Amino acid sequence: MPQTMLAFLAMMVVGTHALNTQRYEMLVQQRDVRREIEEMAGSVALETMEIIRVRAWDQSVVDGTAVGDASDLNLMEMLDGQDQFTVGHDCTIFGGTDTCDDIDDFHKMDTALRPFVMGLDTLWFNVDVTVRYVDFNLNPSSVVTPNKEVTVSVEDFWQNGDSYLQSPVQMSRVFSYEY
Amino acid sequence: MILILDNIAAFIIGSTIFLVLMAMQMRTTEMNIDQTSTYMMKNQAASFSTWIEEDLLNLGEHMDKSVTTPFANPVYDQHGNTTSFTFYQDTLNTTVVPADTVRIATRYNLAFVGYSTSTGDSTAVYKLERSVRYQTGPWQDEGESVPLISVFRIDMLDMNAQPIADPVAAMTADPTSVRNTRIRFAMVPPIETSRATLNKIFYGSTLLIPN
Repeated sequence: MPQTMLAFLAMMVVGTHALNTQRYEMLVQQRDVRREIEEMAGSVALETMEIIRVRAWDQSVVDGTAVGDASDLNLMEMLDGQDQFTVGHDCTIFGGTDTCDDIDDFHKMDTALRPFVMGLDTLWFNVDVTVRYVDFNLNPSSVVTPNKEVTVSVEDFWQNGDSYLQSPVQMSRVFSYEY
Repeated sequence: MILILDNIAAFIIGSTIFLVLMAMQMRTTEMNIDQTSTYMMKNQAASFSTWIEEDLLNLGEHMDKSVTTPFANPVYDQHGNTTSFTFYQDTLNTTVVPADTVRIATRYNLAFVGYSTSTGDSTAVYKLERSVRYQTGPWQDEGESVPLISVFRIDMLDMNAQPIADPVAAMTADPTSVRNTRIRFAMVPPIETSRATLNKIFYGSTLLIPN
């Protein structure tokens, strides 16, 4: 009887140890995959940031009403309320119908689906953008300043709704108006 | 009879425990090799991406892009890899009047080095050879990557991040048409294993071409 109990105990100890090892291995694999997806999401964020960076700083620049001095700040778009710019654009560059030709047109645009091509395979990422005015200390500003902070948030997209990332990868840049 | 049954049971249990411990030990060893290999691969990819980004950010430096296109069209193979890419920059010596310039051409060549096998898959691997030419002098070899690259692609992008089929012609017609350089590559692990969490890692970056 004692031998049977000891054998049973030994099996339990080994079984628990094996289970913990497997669990650890699974966590390590998930971590590695997650880091790879974070890397790709960062790449997609950078590409999106470059798309926005080459746009005009404000609609007044596109329209030609800005003349290149400090008085231009009076012409810059600024809405009352939580959002300082018009939201919900469906930009043509991301397959929509709206011409997004200046930086703030991307503020809270419709979520865009961007690919990361990996040889023969492609991973897809959801991209969201927010834009706001910031002061010279890069703090949010409730008035027009010559600095717009663009934040791109990227999250992996899977057909079944899963996500490997615990939170979206975010990249922020500040673009300034020269006058 | 009881003694025989006890011995048989002890033998079975002992063997099972021994086999489980052996299997776990082997798997742990495999996992450690896999982790080391992944770390080495990521380390190599990080240093490769750093130097190639620093290199490509010099594209067109001190050059008047309305006069000269600062690159030659990338050449692709049938798999979509960029096999050759050349770009230019000028040095600027302002201590003399008029300022003196020396044109530096940098060329990347993707050279096939063999096959890498990981988790049963065989993948063609390459190394990137970098050479430099000053003015009209001879090409000089100046560095190369580790021979672990399985995918390598450079694209010249327009303002919508779309690749341009003939960027030299586009830039000749409109110097502002090419806005970014995009580089993407994949690397395979340096240690060939039968089980690997990641049998390739991918990297991508989009770089602004300075005006």
